[in-house]
Amino acid sequence: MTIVHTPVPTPPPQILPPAHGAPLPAVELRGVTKRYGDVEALRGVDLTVGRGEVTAVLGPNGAGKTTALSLILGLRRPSGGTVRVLGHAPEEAATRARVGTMLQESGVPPMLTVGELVDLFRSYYPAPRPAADVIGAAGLSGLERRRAGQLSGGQRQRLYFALALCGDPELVVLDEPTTGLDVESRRRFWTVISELAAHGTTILFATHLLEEADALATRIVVVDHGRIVRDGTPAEIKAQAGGKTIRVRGDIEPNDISSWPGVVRVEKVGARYEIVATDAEGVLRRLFAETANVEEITVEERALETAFLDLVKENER
Amino acid sequence: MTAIAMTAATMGAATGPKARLFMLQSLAELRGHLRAPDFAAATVALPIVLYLIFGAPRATENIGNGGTVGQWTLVGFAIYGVLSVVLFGLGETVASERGRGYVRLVRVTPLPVAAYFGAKLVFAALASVLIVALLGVAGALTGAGMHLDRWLAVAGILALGGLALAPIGLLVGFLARPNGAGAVALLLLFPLSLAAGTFMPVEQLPEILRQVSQLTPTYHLAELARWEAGFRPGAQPLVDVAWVIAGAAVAALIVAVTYRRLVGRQFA
Repeated sequence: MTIVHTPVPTPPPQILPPAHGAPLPAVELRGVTKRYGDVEALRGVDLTVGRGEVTAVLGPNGAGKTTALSLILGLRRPSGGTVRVLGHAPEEAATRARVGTMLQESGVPPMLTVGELVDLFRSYYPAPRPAADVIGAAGLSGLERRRAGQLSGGQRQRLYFALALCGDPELVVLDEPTTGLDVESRRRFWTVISELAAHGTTILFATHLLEEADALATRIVVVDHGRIVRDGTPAEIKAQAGGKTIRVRGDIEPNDISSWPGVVRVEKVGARYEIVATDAEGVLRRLFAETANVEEITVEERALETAFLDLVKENER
Repeated sequence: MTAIAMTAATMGAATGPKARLFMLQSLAELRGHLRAPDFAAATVALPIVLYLIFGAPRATENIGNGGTVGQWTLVGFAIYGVLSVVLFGLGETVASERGRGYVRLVRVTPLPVAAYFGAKLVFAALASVLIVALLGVAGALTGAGMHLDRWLAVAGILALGGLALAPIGLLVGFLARPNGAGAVALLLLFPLSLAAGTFMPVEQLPEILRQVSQLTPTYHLAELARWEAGFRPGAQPLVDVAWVIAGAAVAALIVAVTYRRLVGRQFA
């Protein structure tokens, strides 16, 4: 199997004082570890998130995503290493005033209306965003008088998103924002997040869906077993995770093909070969040109989930 | 409600952002409860209904120590009401908000956690005052013969007493499973009201229960209220005050320790 690995783990970033006037990074984790009893949830994480970045923390369940976020939010303290948010300790009220958060479960009081909850949360912050603005940005216009307990799953999720925007935050942290939503609600939710990103807000979100990370993020950090195993743009991550699967029958030289550009790997499955390629078109063209008898060709978009699971599995090997 | 909102807003403007924050939080807490009909029925209406059933028919009957059945039962059901506010309005609510992750969401905002819990205490105090006031009206209408100034003093004792019982509610909120908090609250409500003589005078309980009763804060709160109402001449009010305060202090200490423990776990 030939896969170009990015160097893993990345060496700890050098500590440099910020250039004069340059804003401090939105999030900075240095050598962060977190143990729960005997369980090591994080085993040395270094991560710097710059201003304006939209970063996805991608990983399977139990990889350490939620733990990492709860350290960034000051809900827990690291066992080792340091966590800085916007240059400060995350648990300080002054830091919290600049961060908006959406957690996985946060059943708000069901008897209060959308408008009341938005006003209540706005009252927590020194310089809140106007209520109409918050409600519009979360796609909740027209639902101001609806009680929280009467909202649909997608609406409720957008309410939590609205509550995260109330303080006009510089950094928004979202933990698995679309878990449990149907496809349509999920897409609608992605739209509101994209709009926030276009607004220039720094966004850090955890997800176990590569599709979601790909749709929203400018940077994907893949976490597994408490470590960062990949860090790159969605294109880079997807390239590593493999684009399409070509299945073909014929007299082909797998070792040869695996060295072609755009080929991730070649495997023999039954009587056919499976070529996982990032550049399926190029590989097919060359395949037709260089191989006499290719037949029974199918080309299939790799399910992103499969690709992503492969990526994590490779890390374990 | 709009009137309350406006009052809160104007008072807030006059007393600074912290006070305003606290006021708005308390207002939200009140709104949430007032809109839940089950709360109004179970917590506010039930003690009054119980008084009307068990106290009102014999309200004027003398019980031989300077009081009437009406006065005795009014105090008993007032304590029952205050206790159910503390156990259900405070305890069950905190347990369910804890279970639903709302406490965690509040923790990541700049709102001081003290304001979040403080607003719940404001609600508990106001609901207690409401229950005592309604019982006072019911007592007056049924001829229990409590003088207004006496009842106002009793109401004050019970409202403060409610705050002294509040740590018990918070403890239920922190320790009970979110789905089981209602049951735990009920299990505490019954013996603690029994100790307050809500259902029958403590003197008529079996010896062992009587002795256990005297260890509870509700027993002493009831003694204090009945002494103030004027039909408990043998009572020792300072001893009762000490018991109530000591009970509150012990419970508050346990609450503080429990909260610190939870912050590292469920609230994170």
